[in-house]
Amino acid sequence: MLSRDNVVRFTVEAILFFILSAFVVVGGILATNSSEYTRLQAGLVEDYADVLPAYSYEEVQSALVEGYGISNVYEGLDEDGNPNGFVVEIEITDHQTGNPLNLVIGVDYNTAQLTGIERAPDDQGMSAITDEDIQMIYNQTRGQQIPVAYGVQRQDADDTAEQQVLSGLNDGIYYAQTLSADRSGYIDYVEMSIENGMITMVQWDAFNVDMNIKNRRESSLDGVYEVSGLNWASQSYILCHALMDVQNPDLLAMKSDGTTDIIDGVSVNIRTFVELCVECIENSRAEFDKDMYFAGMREIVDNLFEGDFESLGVVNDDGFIVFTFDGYPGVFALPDGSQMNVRQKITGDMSDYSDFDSTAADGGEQMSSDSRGNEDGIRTGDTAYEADSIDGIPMAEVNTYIDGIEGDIMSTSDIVSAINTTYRFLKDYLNWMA
Amino acid sequence: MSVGRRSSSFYKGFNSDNALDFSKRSSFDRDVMLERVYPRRLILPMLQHHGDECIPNVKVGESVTIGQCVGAPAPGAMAVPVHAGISGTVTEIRPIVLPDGRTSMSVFIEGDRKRTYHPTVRPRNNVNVSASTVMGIVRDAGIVGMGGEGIPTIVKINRAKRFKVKELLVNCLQSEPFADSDYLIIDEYADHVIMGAVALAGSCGVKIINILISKDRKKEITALRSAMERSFSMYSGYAFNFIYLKPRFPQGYYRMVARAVYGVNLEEGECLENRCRAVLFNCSTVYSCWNAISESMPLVSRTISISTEDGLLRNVVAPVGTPVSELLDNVNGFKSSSRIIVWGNCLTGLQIDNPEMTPIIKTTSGICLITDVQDVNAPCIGCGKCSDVCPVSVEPDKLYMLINNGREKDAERLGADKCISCGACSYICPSYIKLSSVVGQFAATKRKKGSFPYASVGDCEWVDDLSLLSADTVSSAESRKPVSDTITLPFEGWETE
Amino acid sequence: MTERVKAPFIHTERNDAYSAAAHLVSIVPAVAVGVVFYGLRAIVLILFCALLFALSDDVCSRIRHSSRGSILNPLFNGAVIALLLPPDTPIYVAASGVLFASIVVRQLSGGRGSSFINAACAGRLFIRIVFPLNEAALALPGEHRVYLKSLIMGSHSPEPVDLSQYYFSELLMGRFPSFIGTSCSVILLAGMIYLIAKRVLKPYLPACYLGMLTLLLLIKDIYLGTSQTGMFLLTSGILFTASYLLFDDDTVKSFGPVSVVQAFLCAALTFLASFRMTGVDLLIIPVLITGVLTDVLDFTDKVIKVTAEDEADAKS
Repeated sequence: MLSRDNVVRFTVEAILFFILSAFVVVGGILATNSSEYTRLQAGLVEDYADVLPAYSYEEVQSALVEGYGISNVYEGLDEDGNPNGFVVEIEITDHQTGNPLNLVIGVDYNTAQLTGIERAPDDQGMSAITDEDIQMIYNQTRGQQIPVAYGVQRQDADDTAEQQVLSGLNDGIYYAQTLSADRSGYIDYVEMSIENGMITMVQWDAFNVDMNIKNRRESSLDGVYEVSGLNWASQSYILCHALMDVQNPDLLAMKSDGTTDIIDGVSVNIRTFVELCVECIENSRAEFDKDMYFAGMREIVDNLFEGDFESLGVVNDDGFIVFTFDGYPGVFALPDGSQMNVRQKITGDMSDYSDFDSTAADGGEQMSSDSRGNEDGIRTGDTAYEADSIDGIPMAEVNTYIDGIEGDIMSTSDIVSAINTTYRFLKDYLNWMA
Repeated sequence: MSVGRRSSSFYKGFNSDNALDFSKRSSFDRDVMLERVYPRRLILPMLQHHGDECIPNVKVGESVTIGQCVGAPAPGAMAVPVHAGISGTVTEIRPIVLPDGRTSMSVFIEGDRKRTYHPTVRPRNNVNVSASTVMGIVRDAGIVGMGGEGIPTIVKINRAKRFKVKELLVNCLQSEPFADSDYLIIDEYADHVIMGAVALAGSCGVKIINILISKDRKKEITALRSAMERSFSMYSGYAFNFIYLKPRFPQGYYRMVARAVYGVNLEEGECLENRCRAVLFNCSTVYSCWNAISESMPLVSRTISISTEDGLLRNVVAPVGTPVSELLDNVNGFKSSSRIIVWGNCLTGLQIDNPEMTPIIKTTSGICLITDVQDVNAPCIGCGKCSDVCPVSVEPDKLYMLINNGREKDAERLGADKCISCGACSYICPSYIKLSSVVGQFAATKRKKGSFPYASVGDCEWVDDLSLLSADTVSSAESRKPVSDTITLPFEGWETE
Repeated sequence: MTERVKAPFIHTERNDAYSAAAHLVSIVPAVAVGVVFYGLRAIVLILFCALLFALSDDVCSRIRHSSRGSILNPLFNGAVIALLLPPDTPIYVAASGVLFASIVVRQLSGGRGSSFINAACAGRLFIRIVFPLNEAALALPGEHRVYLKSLIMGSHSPEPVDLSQYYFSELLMGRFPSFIGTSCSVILLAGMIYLIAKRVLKPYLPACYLGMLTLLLLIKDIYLGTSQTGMFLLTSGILFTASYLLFDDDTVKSFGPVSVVQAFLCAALTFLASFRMTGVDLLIIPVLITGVLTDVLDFTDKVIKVTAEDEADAKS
């Protein structure tokens, strides 16, 4: 019903209108860019000035931002446009409640010092971590370089009720791993260093029979491996530290269900850890060090398969023997017909262990599938120990050590994690310490 | 001197929303004052007015001259004479069917191209004639309402006198699409309009003359004012007023005038005369009256607007009875072959099947040529524009639906019989639904016949030195019979018996 | 002999197709704004909704063996629904609203011209109720222009913003999170002016609506000591309602005094709604109520008139 003239007219009008509108809109955008910039900067200053004073803030657009689970990163600039520092807005999970917590962390550009840390303006306030907690951590880290590590309440060395140094321990590095993988395919291991008869380093981790899967510690830091409470890496860390404090696995007060109530922050089943520690201790007494353990394992596997160990592909990149004895008898038959478990074959005669009350010596007992392992690298007192990593950061890089929030290690861990994640991002982004 | 006052028109109706302003003249007409058509033949129906058919009073083979009466009213009939507009020979007398469906005996005249006038057609020495003389002249000149009403002017004068009207209205509003023949008359013959109005006012016995015109027509207003000033000495005692109305269609219709000027809604059976004490004449009618008075020229020709829907417009003066085909052939720029020819205006007119045998008559104000007739099968979209534009405030969309669904009683309840078939609703309908065809036809069937105030032709005086009639005069009162003169718009033959 | 045609022989140029074409052209600026601000997802939504509405209308008309009128009208209605959507609307959500508007509101009520409510508003309300999209936090203009995942998966969870921080120029140009086509006041005014210039929309109608609403808001501001009228007019999308929703043929039945009353009524309803509603509710619900009330009042008026006539007839 439109005449041809009208069709032409409307078409032309539509095209002209579109072009004109696009010009108007684009022109309007250009004209209002400065207003928008001013408004946004005003908002950013209001949000971040307490954390990192700057004249202006420019958002950092990088794929690394999402990769580290960070919400936003802004670079603070002074009036001359020189960088002041960075403001990182990061969301973490409060492990006490499971609720999110948005933090804003300021880091100085030149000195890598923490300039501020506070709750983000858009945080919903559902976390159990209070502003006072955050302030406490900040007070301990103010002006300090990141990354940060935190300590656990140390035990008094004279308090014999809480520490019992085991006797008969030989110096060296000792190792034990479970013979069977848990239902996730992880084979737990504990590595223990003993110096001067005392346990000076404990490391609890697990590798997976699927060598494409990272170790449990790394997996937990990546968020792939989840446990209740703190991440597994942190719990392992705390547990190892606790053991070094008490020097005796028995004093970890493991209950019949494999958990313990006396170590803050540790909620996972520690049975496997305890068993492996006991085995390490026994290995120490038997001077069956790590190399010998591996040799013994290798012999077992070679005997079982009558083949080349390496060609079986059971050694991972870190040199661990990734083999589970699932499906194989927990014991091997001795020529006399009696049974001996694999471990016994590895470690020697059963009679060597008669004075040690350890459930781990029971033949054929399957290891707990709830075993967790490994956090490491804790420095207590004035003694420097061999460091490993915290939050994925090598201990050698840690510049600041804090006590944390008294009686609330979980909150401390959460906040420190946020700070250290900031450090990891900035390290990658700026190639610090490259 | 006249005083102009503004009157609020009815808000409905519409002004053309086409790119073409309905009432603008084309540039051609500004250069050529008036184009005249001299046809070779005429077809003069004996029924060119609202009323009774005249009786031919010439014979085949008889020679006739311009201004000669060729058809006279029967005694007592509501009719006025018909006169020849060309000189020539009567070739036939037979009935023809007019586009509106009426059958009328017609006189066929073949022109001799000599343009010989009847001896009675000559300028009058003394135009200061009496009221009764005016009435006689008007009657005998065969003047009818030239705006389309077709009522013999003498009938209206009688009616006006019967109801003792106080005002005379001159309708200078021509709101039909593409028509401005009336404005041409005003531009060219403003004096005639003024004097004609005075004469008619005198005959009606009124002293107040209101000119209804659009405020936009400045040229015409100026022409009229100038004419008033020139003629002032001749009409002392009469007061002229300008009443400015918006140029909306159908503003010139008497009901619309009653509402706009007097704020009165005329009921059925009411007219301006009995309700508003006013009588309304078209300006072309008024002009013709003065032409008859001053020149003794009966109504033998008229101005016609010829237009196309794409904007071509010509105003021509043609003798009444000119066949449409000859009209179109004689006017530059129009080719009738491939178009629909509309007798009348393109909103209310009638399609002509046979232009060679269809003449223009006294009430034909325009001929339209339509090329592109859009006929679209689209549903009613419920926009309500028809209701908005309806001058009588019915809801054509709903009435259309009711009538089409056989619910005529409900349609009547909602006022369907008020429809005046102006065609405004059909024009404005975005879906091109022919609302006025359905509703108007229904309204025509529902209008009561014979309910209109009685009016007769008689009671006029003859003037001795002027005889426009060569037939019988009006006979005695006994022979007069009342004739219904219900006002209906004679469009599309909707009048049913 | 030519086919006999009845009067009138001419028709208005401003027929249904003309009106719909004018409306379509008038929303081109709003479409341009949507495309510039929100990129591909906006244009996909607009085109999809427009074409789906037209297709649905056409199919239903064929099934019902009824004439459908100009195809441009359903295109316009579909586009209007799209312009009222958040930019991150999934395609299936948009489709549901369009189909509801076309089939349920328009066709089931008898087709074009028979429904008593604005089909586009009804479709949008359907989406609002059935798919409560995150309309409190809309996408920022100028971001994610090539982001198409939202068409399948929905919002990418933007943050709510505080419009009180925005500068006047930003609000005027529509540079704030909003629906696809309702934010830029300058552009919406241009569309309205175009419609008025085309004589498809009477100028006094949006003037009455906006004037009345502004007056009520100013009174409220004076009474409460606030100054929110300007912000409201610029950010609420009221200009979109005034241009494209309120004076739809389905809502306002005429352009006479009744339409002025309708405009005032809608303004009053919008004002009252502003106390409780925000976002798209504020734009569409008063329009829908106005449409319903108009028809109810019209029907009631006729019943009264006919009843009175019957009584008069009975007495006589």
